[in-house]
Amino acid sequence: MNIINKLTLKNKIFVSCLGFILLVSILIALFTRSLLITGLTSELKKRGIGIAQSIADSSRVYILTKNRAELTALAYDAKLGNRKDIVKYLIISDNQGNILAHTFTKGFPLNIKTIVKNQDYTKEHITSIDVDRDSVFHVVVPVEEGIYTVGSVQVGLEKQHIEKLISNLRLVFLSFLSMVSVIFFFLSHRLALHITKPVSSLIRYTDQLTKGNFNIMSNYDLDKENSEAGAKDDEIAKLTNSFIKMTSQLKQSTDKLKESQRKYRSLFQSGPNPIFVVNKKTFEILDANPNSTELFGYDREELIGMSLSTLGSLDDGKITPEYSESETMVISSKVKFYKKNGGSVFVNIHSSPSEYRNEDVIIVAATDITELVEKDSQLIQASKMTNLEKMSAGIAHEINQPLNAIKMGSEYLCMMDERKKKIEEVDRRMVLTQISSQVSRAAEIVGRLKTFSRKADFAREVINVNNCIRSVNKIIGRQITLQNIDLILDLNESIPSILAHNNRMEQVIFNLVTNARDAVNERIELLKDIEKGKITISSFFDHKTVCIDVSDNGAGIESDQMDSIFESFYTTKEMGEGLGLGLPIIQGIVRDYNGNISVKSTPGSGTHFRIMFPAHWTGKDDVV
Amino acid sequence: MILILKGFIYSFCLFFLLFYGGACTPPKQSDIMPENRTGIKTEEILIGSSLALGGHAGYLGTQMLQGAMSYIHHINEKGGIHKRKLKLIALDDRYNPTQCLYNTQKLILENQVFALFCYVGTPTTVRIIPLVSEARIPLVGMFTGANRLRQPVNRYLINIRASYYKETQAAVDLIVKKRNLDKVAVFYQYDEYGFDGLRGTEIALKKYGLIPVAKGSYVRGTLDVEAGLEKIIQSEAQAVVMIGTYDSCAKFINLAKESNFSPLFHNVSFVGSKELARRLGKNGEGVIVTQVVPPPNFDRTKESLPGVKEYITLLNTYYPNSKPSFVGLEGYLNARILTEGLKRAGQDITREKFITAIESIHQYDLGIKNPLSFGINDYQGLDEVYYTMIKQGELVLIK
Repeated sequence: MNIINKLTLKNKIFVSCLGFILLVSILIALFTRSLLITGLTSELKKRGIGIAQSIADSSRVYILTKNRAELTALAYDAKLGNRKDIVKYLIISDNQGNILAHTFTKGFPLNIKTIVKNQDYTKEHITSIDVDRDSVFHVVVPVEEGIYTVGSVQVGLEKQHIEKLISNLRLVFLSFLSMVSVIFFFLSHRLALHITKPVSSLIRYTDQLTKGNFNIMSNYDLDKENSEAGAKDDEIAKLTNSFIKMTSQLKQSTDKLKESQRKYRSLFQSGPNPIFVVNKKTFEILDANPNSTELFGYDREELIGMSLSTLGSLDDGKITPEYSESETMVISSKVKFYKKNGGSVFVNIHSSPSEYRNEDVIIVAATDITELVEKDSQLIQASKMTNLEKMSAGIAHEINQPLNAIKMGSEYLCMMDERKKKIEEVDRRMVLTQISSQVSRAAEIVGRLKTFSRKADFAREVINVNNCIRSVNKIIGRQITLQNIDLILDLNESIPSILAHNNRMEQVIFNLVTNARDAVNERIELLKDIEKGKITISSFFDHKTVCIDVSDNGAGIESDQMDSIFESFYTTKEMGEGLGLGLPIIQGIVRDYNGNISVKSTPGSGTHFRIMFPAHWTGKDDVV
Repeated sequence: MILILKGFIYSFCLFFLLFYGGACTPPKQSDIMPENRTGIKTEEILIGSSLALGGHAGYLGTQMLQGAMSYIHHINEKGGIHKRKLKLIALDDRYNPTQCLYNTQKLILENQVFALFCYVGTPTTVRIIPLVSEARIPLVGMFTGANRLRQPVNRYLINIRASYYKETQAAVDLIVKKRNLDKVAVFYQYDEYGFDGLRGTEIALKKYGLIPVAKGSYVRGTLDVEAGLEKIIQSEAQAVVMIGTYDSCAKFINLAKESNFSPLFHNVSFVGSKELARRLGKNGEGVIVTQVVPPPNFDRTKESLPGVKEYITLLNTYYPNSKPSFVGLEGYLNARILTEGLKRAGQDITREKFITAIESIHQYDLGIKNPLSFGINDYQGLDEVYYTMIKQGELVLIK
């Protein structure tokens, strides 16, 4: 069966036709053979009996007279002419089974005498025996005189005669069958060709199509017109037609695909942002557009094969998230990448899954936002300075207090020294200790201001938000208290760390607290509400999220303003009091650290800001 | 494609096998029969003969046998052939084909002879052709010129004398060419022998654009020639070609002479010319007999042929009471060829070797100025025909 399966369609048809013809021929041959043998055998027996009977009639008188010479002549007469082929021998015997005459000329076969003797010669019958290694039909015909048998004629009929006849017939038959077979050989060959020729030309054209040669279709149509004019309505023609339709469809879609490819290629080549084709598993760069080489200073050849992580640190967990099909998502913003010359750029990483040369890849677009980041930090700085400016009075007061204490202490010491009074050892120590601690306090405030006003970068470090809250409290806590507002810290000491930057987190909390203060003051001033102002800063964590809540009982935000509060340059304050950049900057910073900010407010009774950051679990924190 | 062709051929072979299966029976035993040495004994070679020793043709058989036996006796006395003596078993068939057949079967099966020899008569010899072919036994020297023994060529039938066709041809040549007679009648014995002669005459006449003007016949073994004679007399034939035996032919000629009908009578050799001449008496003057051997008598005027001379010498030695005759001379010549063949076949003689030896006899001088030649597929020895005319009761050779 395997051999059959391996054959081409043409040969399958060819072989089946031939096989069928051969099978039929063989069956006919076998059938005819058996028919012939039966027919010829019975014919031979009939003739044998006929011969024997005619000899029996003629021999009666000679048997009675025992004229052996005449009997012998009679016996040989039976073998004359064409009967020579049928009659192997003829024996005339008397009624005792003694042989009177026979036709053996080359000696008696060994068993013949016994055979003759043992025959029942009173009735006609035929037995099959072997004489001289030849198979013969032994015909016995009695010779009767009146009602008694006087002798018998026994004829040996050559079975070989039948075989000779059959072999002659066989030759004729065989030549006929051979002729038929040869004719069928060519017929089936033609048939197979007729069926498979259009198929094979179809195959040829398909091969060419596979190679992308679409121009052959016109040739094919011509060919078809010329050579297959006769076979237009058969299945092959239908197949050809649908093939042509399919091909034109294919050609159209291929053209579309090519067009789209060209479009995307030009997008890829001329896009303003660096785009990488990255292996999904190894982050190996498979392709990069010219812009990326321009931005990062690497040659294209250098980039290809390089790992994307060489360019900048990527959060592995984020770059291979569970994508839904054809979804583009930002997986990282403000990531710091390094150029070939060591310079750094900030990029936003967009990625989408795709396929490239049969591999699962990620298309990574790295938008250069270095300038934006620069502007951002300038803006943040400006906003910080504004805050500082507003609070300079409070801060001055804050510094003045220790200065006053120092002044008082030092003046006391000077006065005592002028009066040459002996200072009590206890007093002197107290004064000196106070001066020293007041200097420390002032220095701390100055240090914090210095830290706060410093222009921060985007580095991420593991921080505890509680520290930031305390730090802010140190800077402006007293000042707020002075404005008769309660600043309550409700900190959960066991919160996990987050990935952020102290300075910037401080700025966020600072801004929120100052906003809360302003809101409280606004309520008191505008609404003449005498309820004491209260600002609560609380920190807690929930699952994997670290939350900081800043709530106040200030004026609140009108619901129609709620949508606009995070827009840049939107402010409710009077001209000159704020730039309207506070909340947008907070939101920017929070988002930079993958955080979220939300707000709830009831006008007249207070506002509640909540900032949430993903917890950063270190080994140590896991224990908590 | 090659694979397909191969498959096709294989299936075809299979087909052949299936269809021809069973045809491949082993060859028949007789086809590969070993060289047959039947009848060859350490000191004897058995030769069988069935011929007319009595009855109406008894003279022929007796004469022939004496001629042959005189030479065989001569050979045996000289020590035989390769130290084997020839033993001839002769059975009388009375010129009866049935008896001849029975005798021949007996000779082959019971007497187990090596070869058959000196058969007399056409119907008798023709009857045993199937036996000879089946038993593959050589038959040397038949006293008949029948065409049936010559055509188709049979390896086992070794003819020495010229055929009847040759004799009738010569008769017609003489009648038509030399005597310028064109009314030729045929008188023949109504059997194989007569038919053969009739056919030969007709063929010969046809060459001259003639047909027999009358045909008369008689039944073998009878003397009922009158009806035939009447037909021939009425046709006013100028010559009669006679194919019969001496008794009937003599009666025919005598009756014709009585009726004052005396055309040219032309007999063939088988007639038994000596006996014919004796029976005709003075009526025999001018009757022509064609012979296949030269006349067996001393010609005082010329030097005798050495073969004829030896025959007469040997006959006188062994059968002093017999007179030399044409038939006897033929018998003698047959014996010469038989012994020559046996000699040439060598010590380890077989039937096939014997025939091969016969084939090798070429331009063999029998001493009758008529060299004898056999060859492969040529089992006809002599071709020459002699004309003899009865003159004063004697047969005289004419040119």
